[in-house]
Amino acid sequence: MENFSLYQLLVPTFASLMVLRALSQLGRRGRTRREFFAVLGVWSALSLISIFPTIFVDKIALFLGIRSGINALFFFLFVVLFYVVGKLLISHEEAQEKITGLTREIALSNFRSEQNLPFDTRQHRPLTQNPAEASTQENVSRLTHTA
Amino acid sequence: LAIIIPAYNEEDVIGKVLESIPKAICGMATFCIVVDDGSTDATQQVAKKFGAATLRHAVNRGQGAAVQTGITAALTIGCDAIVMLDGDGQHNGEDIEHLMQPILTDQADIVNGSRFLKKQKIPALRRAYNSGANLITWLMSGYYLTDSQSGMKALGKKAAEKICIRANGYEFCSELVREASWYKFRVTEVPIHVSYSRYSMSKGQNFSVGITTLSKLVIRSIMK
Repeated sequence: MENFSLYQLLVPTFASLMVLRALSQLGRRGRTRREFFAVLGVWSALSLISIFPTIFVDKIALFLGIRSGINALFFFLFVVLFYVVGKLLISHEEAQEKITGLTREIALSNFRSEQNLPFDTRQHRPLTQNPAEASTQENVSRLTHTA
Repeated sequence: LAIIIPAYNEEDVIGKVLESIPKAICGMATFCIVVDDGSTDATQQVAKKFGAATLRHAVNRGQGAAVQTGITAALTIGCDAIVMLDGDGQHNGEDIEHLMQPILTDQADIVNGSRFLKKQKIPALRRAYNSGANLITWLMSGYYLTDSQSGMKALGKKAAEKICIRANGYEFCSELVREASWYKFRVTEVPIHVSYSRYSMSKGQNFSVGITTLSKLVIRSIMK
């Protein structure tokens, strides 16, 4: 008990709250079972590491060749977290770009119909050799067949 | 000459904005394209009533997305140059001619309308946010502009064809400058008028939107 630190109490408490939150989300169908078990696994692991640092952290640090102990491991974990958050942000942005692309394509398609312009879903290239000769209906059917 | 006006819930002012745009500028007929960015009011109908061609995003995607949609539409109908301005009535249609001069005389590929090149009333918070955005834009592109976040710009045909805006939100202004730097386009600035009304202040960028935009710019710069 002499070597017991405050973080060994705080981390498991916070982890329990996170698991309870995930459980509540699971009950309200806000989270899938798979996601819940992932959350449970991550927070349980963090709790165990904080409660038994000598068993886990020191061994992992020794295995990785970092001899300065827990600080080095936390630093490493922060780097991993930064990477993961960054990847998530980028994938979120990519998803947003795809939604925008779809929204734009619908808007432009309607615009071309209104302006009686040849259809083209790929930038500004005409679908036919001579777009002026192609009627809107011809291009619509072309797109329908090629899609 | 295409005039692109991204608009989101602007039924009260879009008519006035369209009326302020001259029918011809420097001998070029103007063609107004209003991009209704998923408005829940009658923005599109009002714009049509005032003679503009309209496009409608089914859902709100942001000003950057609306501007790129407008650029693509303008190129599709074969416009030779593009001017973009905000749909909230803060810009003056008479400035379009000044904005077009460097493009018509082949002195620039992109012209940025700057609110800060002449003395006028601009809220201090907007000035502060703009300074931060100017700095980040300069770090990203190497181009220093006095008003990198201005919504009033002109693009020559070459620039409009090459530039591709991926940012959905207000950070598109900085992305456009970064693209300009990538393609080595000549960018210049001309002074423009701006009039902030209570209406226009309630729309568009405020300090919290500014902070969000700045953080997006930083994250995009680091992680992309």
